[in-house]
Formats: sequence, C-alpha cells, structure tokens
Amino acid sequence: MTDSRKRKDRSTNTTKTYNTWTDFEEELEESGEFNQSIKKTNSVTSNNNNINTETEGKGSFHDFSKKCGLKKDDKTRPLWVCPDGHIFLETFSPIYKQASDFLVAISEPVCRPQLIHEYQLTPYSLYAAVSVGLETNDIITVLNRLSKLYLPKEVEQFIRQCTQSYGKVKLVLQKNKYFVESAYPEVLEFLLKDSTIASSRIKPTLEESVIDPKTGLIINKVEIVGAQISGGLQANQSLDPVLKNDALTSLLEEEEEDTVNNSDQHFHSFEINSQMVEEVKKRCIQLDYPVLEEYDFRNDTVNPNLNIDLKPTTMIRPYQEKSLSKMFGNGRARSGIIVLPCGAGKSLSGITAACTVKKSILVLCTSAVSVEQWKYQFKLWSNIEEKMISKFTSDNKEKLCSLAGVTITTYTMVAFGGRRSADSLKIMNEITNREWGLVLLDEVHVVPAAMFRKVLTVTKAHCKLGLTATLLREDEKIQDLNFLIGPKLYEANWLDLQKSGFLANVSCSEVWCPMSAEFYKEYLINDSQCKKKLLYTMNPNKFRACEYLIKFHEQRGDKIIVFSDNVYALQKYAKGLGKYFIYGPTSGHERMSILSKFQHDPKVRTIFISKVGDTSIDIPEATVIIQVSSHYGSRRQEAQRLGRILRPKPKSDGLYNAFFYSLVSKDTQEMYYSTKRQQFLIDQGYSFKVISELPGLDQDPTLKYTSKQEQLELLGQVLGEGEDSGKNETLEEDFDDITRGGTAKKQKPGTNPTAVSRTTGGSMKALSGANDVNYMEYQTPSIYNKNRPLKK
Amino acid sequence: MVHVYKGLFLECDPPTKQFVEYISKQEHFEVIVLDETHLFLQAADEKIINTIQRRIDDLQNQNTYSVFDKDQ
Repeated sequence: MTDSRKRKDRSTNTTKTYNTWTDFEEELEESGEFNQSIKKTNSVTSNNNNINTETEGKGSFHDFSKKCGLKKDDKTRPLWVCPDGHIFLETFSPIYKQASDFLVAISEPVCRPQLIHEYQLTPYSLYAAVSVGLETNDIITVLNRLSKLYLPKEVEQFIRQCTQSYGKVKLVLQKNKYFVESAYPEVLEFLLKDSTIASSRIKPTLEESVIDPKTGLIINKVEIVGAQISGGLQANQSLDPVLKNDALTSLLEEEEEDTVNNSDQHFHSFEINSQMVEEVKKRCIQLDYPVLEEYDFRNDTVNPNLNIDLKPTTMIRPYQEKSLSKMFGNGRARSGIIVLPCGAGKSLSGITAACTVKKSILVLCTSAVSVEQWKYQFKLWSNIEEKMISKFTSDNKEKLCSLAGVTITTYTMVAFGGRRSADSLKIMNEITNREWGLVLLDEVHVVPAAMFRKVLTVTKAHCKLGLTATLLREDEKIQDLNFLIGPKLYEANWLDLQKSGFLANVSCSEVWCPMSAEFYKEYLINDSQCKKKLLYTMNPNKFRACEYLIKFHEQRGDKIIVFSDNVYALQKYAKGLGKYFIYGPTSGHERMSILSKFQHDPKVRTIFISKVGDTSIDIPEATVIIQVSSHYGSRRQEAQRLGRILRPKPKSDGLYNAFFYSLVSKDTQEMYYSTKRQQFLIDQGYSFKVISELPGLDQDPTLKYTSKQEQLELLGQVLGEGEDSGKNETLEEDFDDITRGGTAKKQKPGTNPTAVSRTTGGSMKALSGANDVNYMEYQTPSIYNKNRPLKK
Repeated sequence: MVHVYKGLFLECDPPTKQFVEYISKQEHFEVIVLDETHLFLQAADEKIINTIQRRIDDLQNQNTYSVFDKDQ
C-alpha cells in the first residue's frame, strides 16, 4: 500500500481528519497484527491498561454534532455524512434503494444490518467509482443532495483529491499491442517524464496511426456508446436512477446533471512494451494515476469471435444485471471484481459476461471439482457447443479449440512452476500464446497469494473478471487485488437478497457447551496449543449437543452437514454417531457416492465433512449446518460454510428455512475465535443468537457420553493422542491462505512445520491463518508431487 | 479431635472450580475440595479473593473477542 503512504507524503494541505483515517489504514498494515488483545493477557497488571486502550484511539466515539450543520429538511434525506468519511444510510427512507445503489458505487460497505447501513469512503472505492464513469462533481453534488448534514469540507476535499487523478489514464490492448491512453495529453506527458514508463515506450511508426506533431502522441477518436449486454438488457448509467428518479426530484428541486460523457472524445496514447505492463501499472499507481483497464471488444477485429449466447430461457436476476452493467457501462469491458454471496449466481454472472464479450474465454477455478461444475454451468446456461469447451486439469488435457473457445482450468495448473509432461506443456504454451478476451477468476480472494499471482503474468487477457463471495483475507493482501485485477465493481447486499427470496432465510446460532470438569482441568493444565484445541473440540457436552441437534433436525426432515476441521474429531464424531464422512484422503469416487446418497437417499440425512467441503461441494438441498470445529478466526471460512446452505429454499412453515449452528465450548479460546469469525456475517446483516441450553439435553438418556465413565474413557483417549491430532487437516488441495510458516518441504497431511503456540507470542496474523500459501495438487503422485511456494 | 479451620467458602460452577484449583498452586493458596461446585479456601483473606477475581477476569478477557479489538 505504498500508494496511500505516498499520497499522504505528497499532499501539502491535507486536513487533520484526512490524516487520521489514512493513519488508521497504515497502522493497520504496519502492525500486521489484526488483534491487539494478545497484549492484554501478557501481564496481570495490564488490567488498568486495558481500560485505557479501550477508550483511546481505535474503538473510541467521535462527536460530530458540533462540527456539522443539519439541513432544514433533513428528515427527507437518508444519509449522514461524517467528516471522517463514514456514511450512514437509513434503510427506512423512501429513497433507500437509489441512495444505496449510489453508495455502493462510491464507497465500501462496512456493516449492513437491518435498519442503518454503514459505508466508508476510501481511495479504492472512489477509484472504483471513477472507473465506472462517475465524475468528481457529480459525486459531490449527489452526496450533498442526499445528505442530512452539509457536506463536510474534509469529505469534499478527500473526494476531489482522490478522484482528480483517477480515471484519466487507461490501458488498452489493441491488435496485440498495449497502449496507455488518455483524453488529457498533459497527463501522458507527465507520465512519460518518469524513467520507467519512458523506457518501456515504443515509438510509433508513421504509417499506422495519426500522430500529434506537438507531443508525439497517437490520436484516436473514439465513440462511446451504451452497451448491449447479452440477453437484450440495457446497461444503465449508475447515477441516472438517482438523478432521474421521480421520488427524488420531487423531494429536491435542483437541476439534473449529465453523468457519463457520451460525446466523441479525442484520445491520446502511446504504446508500451508488453513485457513491461506490470511495471508500468505499478508505476502509474505510485505516481497517483492508476490505470483503468478497458477492453473494446466490439471493435476488436484481430481476435476471433466466439459464437456464444445465453439460452433464451436463462433468466438474469436484477442484481446480476446491475453488477454486469457496472462492468460494461460505457461499451467497453472493464476489469474488476464482483462480489456476490454464495449461491446467488456468480457463475451465471460470469457466463453472461462471457456471452457479451464473445471472444476466447479462460476460466480459472480452485479445484478439479469446480472445473466440472463450471463446464456444467456453461452448458446449462448458454448455447455453447461441446467442441468449444476444453478442460485442462491433471486428469483431462483437452486440446484447445483452434479459433476461439472456452478453456476451464485450475490456478495450480497454470501457476505450476516445475516440469510438465509433454501434453500439458503443449497446452500450456497454447494458453500463454493466445490472447484471451476475458479471464474469469473464480474465488478471486485466493489470487493475492504468492503462488497464484503468477497466473496473471502468465496469461495475456484483455479483460479480467474476478468473482467471489468473500473478499476477505486475514492478511492485508486483499488490497493487492486492486492493481492485480481491478476495482470492486459491485458488492451485493445479503439481506436484500434474502428479502427478495434469492437467498435462503438463515437463522444463525451459537450453541454454548460447557466443558466437563475433567476436560477443563486438562485444558488448563496443558500448555500445548494443539492439545488444548483437541480438548475443547472433543468436549463430551459438545458431542451430546451435536447429537441432540442432529436428532432434532432429522426428525423435521432436514438434511444436515456437519463441518469439522480437525480430522480426529471428525472421525470420532462420525463413527460415534454412525454417519458418513468425507475428508482429504477420501477418494473422488467415494465422495461422489456419498454425496449422491446424501442427495437422494432419504435414510442418509447427515454427513460429516472436513475442510474439503468449504468451497468445492455444491449441495442445494442441505438446510442445516453444524460446525463442530473450525479454523481459528477465519471469517472467510465461516462465510463460505454458511454459503453451503444459502441457496434459496422453498418456504417451509415458520420464518426460517435454513439453520446454521456453531458449537462452542464455554470458557475456552474457542469462544474468542468464534466471535471473531462471525464478524463478516454480522457485517452482512446476520445476527447470531446464543443458545446456552438445549432443552431436554440433560434428561435424554439415549445420547452418548451420559455417564461419567464414558466421559473419562474419552478423555483418556484424547490425552493419548499425539500432537498431530490436534492440528487441523492440511488439505492436499489447500488452495486457501491457511498454512503457517511456508517452507519448501512437502507436507504430510495433518502436520505443520511450525507449531502454533500462543504462549510463545505467535502473531495473530499467523493464528488467523495468513502466511505464505503452501499449495499442493492432490491427485497424482507423479510430477505434481514437488512444489515450491513462489517467492514474491 | 475436632479441627477448626478459618477460611472462605466458595461456591461456583464446575469449570470455575477447576480453574481455581489450577491457579491455587500459582497464587499460593490452599484449597480443599468439598464437591463439584464447592471449595474451601484455607487461611484465605481479602487479597486472595481479589487475586482470584482478577485471574478470572483475565481468563474471560482472553476468551472474549470484542469488536473494539480489531483495528477497523
């Protein structure tokens, strides 16, 4: 994040409040510790200090009532705009919809529960706003119109400062050459003064293009038209709904302004060396002129067209349409990221984008299972022919369609750095040499990991679209996505989707299970982190609670998935209750058979899954999730697991039709991690109920571990287990940001090279699962055995 | 022979009882276990009570995640 630091250094007349919240961001990165609470436990005498740290700085309250003036007709306006960039939106206002559309375009949603939403203006969010075509003055005007308070000077200044340099420079790929383009020749001249950029410039030859004699820059005249998204839908300009809406104009009587400039413009450009594109992009960001990447697919005559269209029966939902309109706003395709909740139809959005661009498409997924699912989705929603889709995984090495086609592969296959077999080398060469129209990056939150960044340099694409449900990582690398792929184009509101029926109505609960006395004693005595974890996972009361919930929901006829990260616990629970379970070593064939039994056999109502089930498995009919053990504070994992049941369900009797239970052992570290994990979901608007007692649990004699004897036996077994059992499963296909201490060693499943021990002061970052990725492709033992995590 | 001990009578839930037993060695006080939820602290006084209270508070803080902890 050197750019924000540099911006702070360079700006000469920033106000105090501007500095405060960039300081915030910087402290956040510099400390690297997302959690200061470790300091709390260090010494007994720190109790007094606790009180001080809580009232000062971060979590403190600001009183803005003196600083900001309230307008006269404040009741009709829905926004509170605070001098530090926070914006609060009242959802019960009549113009909530339009205001929320506007805010999503210019700011980051922080927390969106039912009645009041919180947003934050950040440099990146304004960058995203400018990249979809909003202008500085328009943003300020509309914000002023909607705000109850007079727009604070600091906010106006911040917006101007951030947006004046954004959106001026574009990177365009035409005829296999990269051009840096801008409507403002002064900007280009400024950029060319920089040595890196100047050295990557290629002087144009006279016959090819029109050159401005003064500056030596190429001039093109480009028409900007509204885009026609595949499926006959019109892209809408983001501010139009706000400005032209009748309700709004009746409330406010001011003139409307033009949003995106639709006139013909002269664009100046210079060509750059295609090898130096990354460098140039980074340099431009550092110079405060981040480049927008847009692909003019309509006028691209060089790349062959792909004849693909959505099936006429395919229905696109309004939020999918909105997200795509952000992408195709001015007739060109923008690179960026779309964030939609799990089960809301991200694949369809990606496929619609592909059908609009109509050039060669490359789809990158996280695993071989996802590859299958994407192919299936392509055939389901579009009229693409079989011969035009090719898969590239370790099992299938299909030849690419010669002219234009869709290729679906995994991140590892492309990022793999070692020797390949002859077949895969051939296909890999084809992939690197082809100029892709659109690259779809599934689960794009894994891309910042060192291993996966490589995929972006290896493949040449005009336009990149990242799709994910959880734009979260427990390290700071998520910001890197801004220059790796592009700004966040759209983020959906989970609660809104739930209200509209596109997502199931989920009831989230946390079940508190008291630790049995003996287990707790051992928990306190044992210093080893892994042992502690094992003890609170294997708490017999938790086991009983799990059994109780399973019985209860099976009676209702629900399908239940139980998640457990810890393999030992998984097996103990599943075998103890007589249910099927799936984990890393389960063969693909067996997985498919268990999953199909789960879907179709009414007797198989419950299955136990380990980490493998976090993303790849798609089970529409599951209605209940019980979480027995999980990966420390990973918010992303919590959200992904919830996503397994978010698919819309038919309305049953009663308000909720999906249930999410998280079983926590009281008075242990698990409580801490559990609350941390829930933060993301709470920000989306879900609230976690606490169930401290399950009625009838103690009286039920049919549950296991009722007797002290059984409990003591279990304790004996648990204590007898080695260090390994307490650790989480290290998946062979660990595409996630989980492992600690990345070294080049091959890892046996279930072991980690460094033990995580809180008492030795391991960083919170590591405990939340954020160090270098250590990735392995599971299936074949042959050449894919060795792997080296890429150095940055 | 009857022995009379002066001390403090502690009533709590099973996990807390375990915890008090655990810290008894560290904080140097003696406990006599009566049953699952009751303890007798021998020769205990005000100071020990405060110590125990403080340790329990620490434990609770350690296990509780508060939104103000994260730098947001």
